[in-house]
Amino acid sequence: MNVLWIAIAVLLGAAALLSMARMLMGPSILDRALSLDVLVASALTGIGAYAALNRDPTVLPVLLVLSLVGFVGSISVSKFVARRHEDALRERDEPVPAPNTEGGDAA
Amino acid sequence: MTRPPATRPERVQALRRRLGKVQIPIALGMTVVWMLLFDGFRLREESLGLLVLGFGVSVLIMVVFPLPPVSEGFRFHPWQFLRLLVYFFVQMVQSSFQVTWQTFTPGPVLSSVIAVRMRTDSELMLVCTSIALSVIPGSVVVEVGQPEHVLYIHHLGTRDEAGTERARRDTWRLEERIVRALGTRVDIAKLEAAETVGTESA
Amino acid sequence: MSDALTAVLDWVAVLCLLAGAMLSFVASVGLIRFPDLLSRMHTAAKPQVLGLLLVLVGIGLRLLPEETGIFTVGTLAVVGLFQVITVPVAAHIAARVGYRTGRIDEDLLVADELFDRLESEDRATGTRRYRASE
Repeated sequence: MNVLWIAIAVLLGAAALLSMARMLMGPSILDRALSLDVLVASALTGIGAYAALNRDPTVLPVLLVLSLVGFVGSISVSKFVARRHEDALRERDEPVPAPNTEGGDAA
Repeated sequence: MTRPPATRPERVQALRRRLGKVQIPIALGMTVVWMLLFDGFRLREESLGLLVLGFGVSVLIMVVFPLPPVSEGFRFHPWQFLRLLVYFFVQMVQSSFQVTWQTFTPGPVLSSVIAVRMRTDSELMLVCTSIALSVIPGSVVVEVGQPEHVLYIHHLGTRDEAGTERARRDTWRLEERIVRALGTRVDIAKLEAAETVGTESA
Repeated sequence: MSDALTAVLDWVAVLCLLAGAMLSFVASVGLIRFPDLLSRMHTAAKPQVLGLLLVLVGIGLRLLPEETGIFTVGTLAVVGLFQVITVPVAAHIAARVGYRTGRIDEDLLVADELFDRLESEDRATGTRRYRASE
């Protein structure tokens, strides 16, 4: 059974490294946010594996918090990208920069 | 003490209106989550206190952040819900294998954005279907066409016309499972009407 | 609880965790391998839900012989619930923004039924919100 535990650790480590690679490669900020999500998912799996290996329920609240706030990052990045995209469009459509009024339903 | 007495009844009325918006079933659901968070189901001295406090916090949240009510309501069919769960898990595992296979076969992986028109008008069914679609690997909801309830779904691995048709039919089957598990009688009737029309025209 | 039962539960738990770790690994390979954002999102959805559910089952099975407190089971259920609720929200918003900003490889699309709708909408309102990158 030890072999299986080691296999789990190796797979998770490789997963984390590969998603880090995607995070470095980009090409856009949305891709980076997505790879961060995958990294968080592997972290969740890793914490879960730790809890199972040591039969230790004390780390379960960490799982809880990560599953609750894990999605905030990619949502805020998406909102940011959407807002910037709209600004870029507005600038292209109106060569004279209009005063940037608050608004526009950002995606 | 400094506030003028004339505004008092208005405030009371506003508070009462907000309290009227509290939906008891949802508050009870939140209380259950609260109890789970604080280990309230292991019977101890403070369990009752936790229950009362949790209910109080749920009501407070719903008074401070009022939400529109869950629109048409829903009806819970236990047997059909079980079938939905089984179907859902089978789909999830199956499409996980599919995506894994697509990941490890060389060559470009084609995909498509398809429009699927929902056959019921219920917002709740729409939300449930899109949640299920997003959770199942291989399909992501890109856009929701609002007034006419069309889901635009990005589907991985559809190689041709037949593939997109299969994806569309899968989405409809998922919708059917969800409506049969959670829909009201009106929704189910609408679904069945749409189905007979569909088979006649096909 | 008998030793034999505990051993069986342990094996099942380890296999669940192994499956979860494999899903994570496949997802990260998919991140590297797929060419555009929307395709990558499909692989990312796997460990986030199915993988996590498998891991939760694994933890539950490992903790069962230890103590029968409902706390752990309840916490695991809440973790699964939150994940199933939150992941689709993030996925939908990211997919929507990704599509609108042109993070999709059109050469790999067999059909695109959203394109026409957005275009006609844009023509009606006289704006162009769609695919500014081109």
